[in-house]
Amino acid sequence: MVEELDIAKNILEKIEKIAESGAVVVNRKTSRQARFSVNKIDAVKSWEEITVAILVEKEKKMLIYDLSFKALDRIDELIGKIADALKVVPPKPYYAPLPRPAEKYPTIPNTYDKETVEKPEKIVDLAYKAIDYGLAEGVKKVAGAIYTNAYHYALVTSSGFEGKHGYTNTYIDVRAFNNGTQTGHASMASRKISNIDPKRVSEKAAYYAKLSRDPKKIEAGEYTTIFTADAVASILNFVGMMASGFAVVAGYSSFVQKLGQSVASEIFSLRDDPHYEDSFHPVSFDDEGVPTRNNIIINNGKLKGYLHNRITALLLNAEHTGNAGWVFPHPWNLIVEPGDSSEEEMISEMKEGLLIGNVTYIRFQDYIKGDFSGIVRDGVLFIKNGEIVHAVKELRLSDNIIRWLQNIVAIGKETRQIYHWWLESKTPVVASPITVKATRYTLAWS
Amino acid sequence: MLDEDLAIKALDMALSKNVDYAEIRIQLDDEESVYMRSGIVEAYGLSISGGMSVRVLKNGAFGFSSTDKLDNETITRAVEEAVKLAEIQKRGSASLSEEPSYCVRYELKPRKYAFEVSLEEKIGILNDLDKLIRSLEDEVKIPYRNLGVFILSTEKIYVNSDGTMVRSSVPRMMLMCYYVLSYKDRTITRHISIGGAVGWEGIKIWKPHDALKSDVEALINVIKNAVALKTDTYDVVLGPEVSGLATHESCGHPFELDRIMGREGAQAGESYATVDLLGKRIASDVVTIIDDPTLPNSYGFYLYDDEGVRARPRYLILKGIINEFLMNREYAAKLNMSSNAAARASEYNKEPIIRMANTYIAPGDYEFEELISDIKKGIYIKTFGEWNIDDRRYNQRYIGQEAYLIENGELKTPVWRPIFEITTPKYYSSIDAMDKNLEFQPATCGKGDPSQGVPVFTGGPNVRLRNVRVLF
Repeated sequence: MVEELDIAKNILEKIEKIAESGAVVVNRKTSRQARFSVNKIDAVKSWEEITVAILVEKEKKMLIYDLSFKALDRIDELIGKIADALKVVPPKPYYAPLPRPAEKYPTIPNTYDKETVEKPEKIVDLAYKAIDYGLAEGVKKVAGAIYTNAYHYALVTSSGFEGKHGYTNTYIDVRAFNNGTQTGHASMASRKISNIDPKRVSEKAAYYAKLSRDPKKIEAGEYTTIFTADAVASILNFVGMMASGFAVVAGYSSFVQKLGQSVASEIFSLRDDPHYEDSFHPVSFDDEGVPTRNNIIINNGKLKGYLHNRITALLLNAEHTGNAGWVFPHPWNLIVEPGDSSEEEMISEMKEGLLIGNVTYIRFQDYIKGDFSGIVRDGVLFIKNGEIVHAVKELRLSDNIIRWLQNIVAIGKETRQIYHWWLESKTPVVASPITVKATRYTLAWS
Repeated sequence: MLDEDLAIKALDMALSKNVDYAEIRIQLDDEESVYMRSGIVEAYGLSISGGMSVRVLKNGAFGFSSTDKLDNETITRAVEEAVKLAEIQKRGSASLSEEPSYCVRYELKPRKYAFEVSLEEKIGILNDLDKLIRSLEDEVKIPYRNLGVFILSTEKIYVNSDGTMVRSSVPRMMLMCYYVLSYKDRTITRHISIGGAVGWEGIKIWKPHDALKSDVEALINVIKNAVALKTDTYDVVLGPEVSGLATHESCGHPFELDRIMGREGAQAGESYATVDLLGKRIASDVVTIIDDPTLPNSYGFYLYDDEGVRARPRYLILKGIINEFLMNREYAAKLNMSSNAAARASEYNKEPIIRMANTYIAPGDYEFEELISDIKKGIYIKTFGEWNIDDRRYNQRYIGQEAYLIENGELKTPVWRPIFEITTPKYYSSIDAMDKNLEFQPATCGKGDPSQGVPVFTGGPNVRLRNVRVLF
C-alpha cells in the first residue's frame, strides 16, 4: 500500500513546479456505522476512502483543491488547470507565509486503538445492547447510531513540514421514546470502543424519556434552567465556531471586538485542547504544520482569544494558535472547566425552573448581536423546590448567546465527552451540566 | 467518464454472494467555487469527489459500503464488506417494493457549461456584486460582505439486481451572498441565494444584480425605519421565501415516510403525521402542496431516483387533504405500496434515503395587490432570518427580516423582526389564499446520519393567513 506521506510528497513536488508554495493533506479514513431505530438495526455501513486536499499559493493568491482518491488519476490535468487559474485569480492585499516547522511537537500517547476498527461485529453488538438496555428501562422505542473511525493523516508543506498522525474515535448517540413527545437522549464519545458504555447511555436516555410523561404547557418567560451536558455541547458548538478568527472577520460571530471583555459569567471557562487524555481529535499539528496546543477561549468570563490560522492571525494581529483550517480555523476539542455540583445537587438547589435534556436546531437571527433560538427536547422538566414536578411541552429557547453565557450560575462536576448528531459544527465537547438563570423561552401560538 | 462495465461487474460479484438484492452506484461530483470576502478573492476551490457504493439486502438486513478506489481488489473488498455487514445483523425484516425496471440515460444539457466559462468572468460577477453592495452604503454601513459562486456537476451510473440501469448527468449553479448591515444600535445579518440546475445562462435568467440591489435597498429601509409593533393577532402574508421554507419544514419533512415510521428518530426526529392520516384533512381546501423532482431546471431536479424509480410530481396535500407521503422502496413496501421515487443520496458514499426535491404550495389566482386588498391590519413577512421547527415538525418559527405593516390594503412602514411562531395545524388551517407569483430559492436540505445535504428548491407564492399571532 502506498503511504499517505508519499502520495502527499509526490503531489507537492508537482505543485512546487508551478507555484511559490503549497501544502498537501492526504487523509485515509476507514469508518463503520450501525444505525438503529424502533428497536431494530436499519443498516450497517462502512466507508473506505482517501481524500486529498491541496493548497497552492503564488503572489498572494490562494487556491484550494479537494479530491477523492479516484481523481488522482487526473492529477496532471489538474496541475495544468491550477497553473491557468494562478494567472487569473487576483492577489490578496495580505499574505502570511506557511509557517516553518516548529522545533518541538506535542506527543499524544495511545491515539490509535485497533479494537475500535477491527471488527464490525462489535458495533452491531453495541447497537443491540443499547436497544436492549433502553427497553429494559421500560421505554417503548430506542433509536441511535454507533460510529467508529480510523484516520491516517499526512501533511507536507513547502515550508519544510512533514508529519503524520493516526488515531481512532468512536461515539454512540441514543434516543429513547415513550411516544413522539416523551423522549430522552444521551451520547458518549471516546478514542476507544471499549470506553463506550451502552448501558450508561441508554439508561440516561430512558431516564429522561420516562420523566417526560404527561407534559404540560407553561407560560412563556424567563426560567432558571439546568442544561444537561448534551444540551450544553449543542450550544457551545456555536460558541466554538464563533471563536474562529475567520468567523470574526467574516461577520459570523458575536465575539467581534470583544477581546478582553466579559462575555460570560465569572465562573465559566472554555478552552480548546486536542491533547486532552481522551480527545476525540488527538492531533499534534494543524493543517499548516503548527503544533496544536491548549487554547483558552474564555477564562473566568473574559474572552481571552480567538482561534487562528496564519491568515486570521495576521488580519487580527494575533498569534497562530494551531487551529488551521486553511481558510477557516476551528476548534478541535472544546472543554468546559467543571464546577463542583452534581446534577442531582443542581436540581435539589433549584427553587423553581427547568431542566433541558437537549437543545437542537439552533439558528441565529443576528450573528453579531447573538440573538438565537433553539428547540428544547429530550427531557424538558419543570422543577419546584428541588423536585422534578412535571414535563413541559412546546417551549422554545429564545435568547441571546452572550446573555446566556453571562447568566451561568452553576457548573456541574461530572464531565462527559459529548458527540452527537446535533453538534452543528461537529466539535466534540467535554461538558458537564450548567445552570443558567433567567433563560428566555417563547411558546408557539396554537 | 464513468465506467458502466465496472458497475455491472460489481453487481455480479454481489449477486454471486446469495444476496436478495444488490445495487451499485458510481457517482462523480465536480464542484468549482470562488469565495470573495469584502472584495478580496479569499479562495478559489475545486473539489472532485467520486467513487462507488454497494448496497445489498440479505435476510431482511441492509449492508452498505463504499470506496473511492475503483481497482478490482478494492471493489471486491467493498462488495464482501457490504454482504458481511448485512449478514452479521441477524434480526433483519426489511424488504423492497416491486418496481418496473428501466434502462435509460438522461442528461440535462446547459446552454453554456459553467465549468468552461473563464475564471475572469466568474470573479467579475462577484466583483460587480460586491461593488454594488458597497455603492448602496450611506449612513447604513455594510461592514461584512461575503459572496460565492458554486458550480456543480453530478454524473451517476446506477444498476440494480432488478435489471435497472440509469445513467444521468445534471449541472447545477448557485450564487450565495451573506452580508451584515449596521445602523445605530441595529444590525441585520442576511443570507440570500439564487440557483438552479442550469449552466452559466443562469446569470442572465436570474439577474443577480437586480435581485441583490433590491434586497439590500429594502433592508436599508428596514434597518433605518422599521418599527416594532405590539404583540397581537394580525392577518399575515408570507412571501415566497418564507412560505417556501414553511412548506419544506412543516409538510415536506414530516411527510417523509421513514421519519413517520421512526428511522430518523435519533437524529432529525419523527413526525406529527401518522400513516392513518392518509386521506384526512390537514389544511384549508385552498392548500395543495406538491413536491416535484421533474420541475425543469430546478435545483432539486432528477428524473430517476437513486433506486432507479421513475420520478413524478408528488401531491403531498391535495385541496387540504393528505394525499401521499414521500417514499423509497423500503418504506413503500411497509405500506404495500409503490415507491414515488424519493430515494436520494448526496454523494457516492451515502446510502439513498427519503428526501424532498422541490416542494411548494400551488399558486392561486390573485395578484399580490388583490391578496392584501382587504387586509385592515396585517403584516407582510417577505424574507426571514432565524427559523427552526421541532423534531415532530409541529412547532415552527420564522423571524422576518424584510417585513411591512399592511394597513387598509396597502403596504406601509417596515416592521422590526416580527416573530411568527405557530403550531403546524394552526398554520395550515389559517391559510385562506395565495397569489399567482411562484418563486423558488435553492437550498441544501440536511438529513440522515452521516448527514447528507441534497440540493432542493424551496419556494411558493405569497401566502395569506388570517388572524394569527405575531410576537414582537
